[in-house]
Amino acid sequence: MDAQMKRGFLEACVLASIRTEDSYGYRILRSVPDVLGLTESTLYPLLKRLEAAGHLTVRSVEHNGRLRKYYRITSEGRARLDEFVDEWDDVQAIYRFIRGEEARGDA
Amino acid sequence: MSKMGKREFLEALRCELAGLPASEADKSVAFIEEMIDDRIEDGSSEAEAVAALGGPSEVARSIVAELPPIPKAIAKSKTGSASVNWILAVALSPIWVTLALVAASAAFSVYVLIWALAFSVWLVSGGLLLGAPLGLIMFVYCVATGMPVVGVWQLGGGLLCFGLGVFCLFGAKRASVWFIEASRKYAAKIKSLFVKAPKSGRFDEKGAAHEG
Repeated sequence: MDAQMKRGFLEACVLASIRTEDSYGYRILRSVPDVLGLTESTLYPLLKRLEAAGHLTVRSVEHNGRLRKYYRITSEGRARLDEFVDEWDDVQAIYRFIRGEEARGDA
Repeated sequence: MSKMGKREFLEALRCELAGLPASEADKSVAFIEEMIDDRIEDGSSEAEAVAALGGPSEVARSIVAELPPIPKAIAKSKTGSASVNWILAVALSPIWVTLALVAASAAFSVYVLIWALAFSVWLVSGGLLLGAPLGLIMFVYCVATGMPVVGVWQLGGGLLCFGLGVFCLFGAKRASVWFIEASRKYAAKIKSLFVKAPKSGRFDEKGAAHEG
């Protein structure tokens, strides 16, 4: 998959994985679809970037005598996610065109 | 790197990240440590958890690859330790300080240029608008000194300038919006060399780096 496209998908998937409840790094890593090939070392900069953009907030929680970081989505993060989903119709139209299923204008 | 322990792995990773600022390197290592601990809690052995990450240099490479251009360049110029980097930075300062100053002043002059252009458009319209009061003064003066025809000519010229000035004012307003936008984009461009912003807007938008 194209690197840029993957980056966009990964950001959306990470946000989606914390949409309903706060989560921590390892669980986020597990929940993101395998095809995107997310690893520990790519997840870290990704979370940092989303935090810097205000899409999520971080807090440390004590867990089994060590600290674990939990990530919570912000309203900006939710808005970004909605925006991403709204783009789906456009993406589908482009995809259909690439597959040659649909000519422009008429069908 | 067979059967590397957690401590050993994290220490090796810390060395690989020596080019980063200390606090940044510590945070990256802490994140990876949390991941190892969670993997062990999930049922892996320590060796398995570490092996799943790949080699320390591999992990360091992908962390560094995600940095914006300038911190990445600093981190990649790895000499093994931050102190060696500092000594080199000081020793080579006559070169890089000069280059940095040149780069900074070039960046600044583009900024000034954008604003000088915006300012000059406003100045032109201001000058033209001044035509009306000046024309009026000349008219009064000429009439008072017994040259009414010249006076009317002066007034007409002044009003023409005023009209052009009003016209220019609309142009200046439009231009200013454009200049503000241009300088904002320019500032963002400069900033992106140091800080990597997440993709705002559409996901197919062009980002900075292509690694990964």
